[in-house]
Amino acid sequence: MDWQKIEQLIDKYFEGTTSLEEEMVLKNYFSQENVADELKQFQPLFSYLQLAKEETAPNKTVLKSKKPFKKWISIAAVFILIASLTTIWNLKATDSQDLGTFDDPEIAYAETLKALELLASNVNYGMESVNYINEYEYSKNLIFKN
Amino acid sequence: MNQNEFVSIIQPFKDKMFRLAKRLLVSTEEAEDATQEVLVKLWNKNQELKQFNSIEAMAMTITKNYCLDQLKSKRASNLKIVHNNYTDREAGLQQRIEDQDTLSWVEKIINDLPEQQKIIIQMRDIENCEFEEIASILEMNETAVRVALSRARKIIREKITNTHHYGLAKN
Repeated sequence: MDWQKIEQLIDKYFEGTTSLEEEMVLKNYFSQENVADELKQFQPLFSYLQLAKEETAPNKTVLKSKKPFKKWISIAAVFILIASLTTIWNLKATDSQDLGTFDDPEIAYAETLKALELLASNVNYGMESVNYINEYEYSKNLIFKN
Repeated sequence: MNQNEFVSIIQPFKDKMFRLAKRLLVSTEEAEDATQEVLVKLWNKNQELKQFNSIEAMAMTITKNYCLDQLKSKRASNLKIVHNNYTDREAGLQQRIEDQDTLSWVEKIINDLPEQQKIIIQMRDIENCEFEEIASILEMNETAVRVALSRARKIIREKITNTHHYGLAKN
């Protein structure tokens, strides 16, 4: 192709009015050996533009295959765990604290007496069993006769 | 969509994303990270991807926005990316660029352009995209893209002819 025609294309190129095909013609022209001296100055530009397209991304694209719902599952799990722990704890706390109360002091007194009597009778019952220990003492004395 | 399908979809334009990222961020590592980030973003959109008529155009738009954000945050923290990639360029490419030293200053001239013009030169002159595509990625109209492209090309021409006439690059 004669260089006047190429020169016209170059002018068009710098005006930004060349088509992709015309730009291809220019690139091909400059990639061959015999470029007209008048146009030599543009050779590096077009060679660079062609060369720059050859650069490739380093092949290390590793995709983290994280699916968004997995995150939600773990968040939900933690939430449920915390919720259940707090309810269990609250249940235990109310069990031991809510003992009821009496408004009338006389009934309260009677109830206290009742409770103390219950305690006392249980303690006595315990004491009865402890009395058997004396039997050991007695037999020990029989055997060792001190 | 599973991972293999996804990889086969992005494969044809992954390099294109990387080259755009590198044009804007200059450093190979940063461009690599940016490409990776954008791919993860796309992967997370997984289900919605099929609704878009051009995943490629969307990927390029996300890449552009991500890189511009990166540059903005770097500038806000007063860090300027000055990166020359002395060692990490692909061996073959670097060799060829060194063989013709002139090519590396063409690269420098392009990298010195304002961001928008850089993107347009990258998309049009390197990736050979239609104006329509560039316009949609940059959210501009086609006429504006043409004007900016012509301006960018003229800046490049001016610097090239200066260098050509003086016989040496001024910077």
